[in-house]
Amino acid sequence: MYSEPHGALIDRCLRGERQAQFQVYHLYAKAMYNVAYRIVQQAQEAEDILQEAFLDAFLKLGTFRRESSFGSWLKQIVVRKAINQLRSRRELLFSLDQTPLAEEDPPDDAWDSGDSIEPIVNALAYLPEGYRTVLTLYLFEGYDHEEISQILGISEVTSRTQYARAKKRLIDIIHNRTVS
Amino acid sequence: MMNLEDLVNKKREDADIVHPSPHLWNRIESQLPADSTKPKLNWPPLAVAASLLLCIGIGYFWGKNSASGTQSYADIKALDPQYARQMAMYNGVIQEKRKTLASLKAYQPTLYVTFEQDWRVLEKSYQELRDTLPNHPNQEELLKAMIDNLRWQSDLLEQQVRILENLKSPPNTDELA
Repeated sequence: MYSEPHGALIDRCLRGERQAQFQVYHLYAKAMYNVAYRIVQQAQEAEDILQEAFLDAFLKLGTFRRESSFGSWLKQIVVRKAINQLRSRRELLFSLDQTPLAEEDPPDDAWDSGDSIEPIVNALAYLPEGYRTVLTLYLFEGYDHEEISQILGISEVTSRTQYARAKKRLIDIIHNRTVS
Repeated sequence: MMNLEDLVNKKREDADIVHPSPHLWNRIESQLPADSTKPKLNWPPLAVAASLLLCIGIGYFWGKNSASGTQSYADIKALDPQYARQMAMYNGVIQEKRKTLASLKAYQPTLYVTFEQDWRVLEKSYQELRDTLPNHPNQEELLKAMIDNLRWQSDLLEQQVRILENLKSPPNTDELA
């Protein structure tokens, strides 16, 4: 069984202790808000997602089986809600990009745009939703392509292809923004 | 040369650049079932009013006689009840963590003293903000600064508790192997 760093706190939340719930909120709110924001790129929507995710987590804490950390369980809830939000906007479309990546078009692996992460996070706003979702899940949230394929209901190959394309586009965006 | 994945891995902590609104917790709390640790009161309004008066009275004298610890939020509540609620919450968390930290003092007495000095600095600046609040021209900003300060105190204490707890427990042989 996974050893939960905040096990005692989670137990108190299970008993419905407000102070413990506040502490859990305090521990995870910023990180989870950023997870949601990177996907939906809209502050109000990200807040609504966060609100619903914490409510779900507190009200359904009994279903948390402690096979992973509370943090990754909560993140799954946030990611699922963020993707549903994109789906409700009808913006999560992969249909145009299902073709395999051409051999002659390998993604540019080298990174020569400084060692700050901020330009990367800011450039996410300029990526199409499909690219952005796969890229954030892989690059920032640490899911592998198998997990992403399950989360998004796409094939693992599509996840890899989308990621490679998204990465290439992201690097182009950052270069163009730095040049102009 | 580094690639994109390496950079993001290395700088992952800097990727969280946006903050949720300070009132989000209040929105969440308003939809949660009542606090299980608080007994439900079923008193007639007059009794509530009388006991409130008594509490205010006791609180006033308590406030006069105690240096810190319990805090009064009446004036903050008048300015912004949501901030007052959060401050009371943070204060509860901070008191709780200080107690936990004190219970670990015996394991690392010297380190504990250094830790205490660290959070006392933050506590002092909170008190300075608190003292300027009544006459400050921009109270909204000051309240935000106070909330930030309480969050930092809480974060700092959390880190300190974690450090002392790690030093207390015997080394994990799996990790060393």
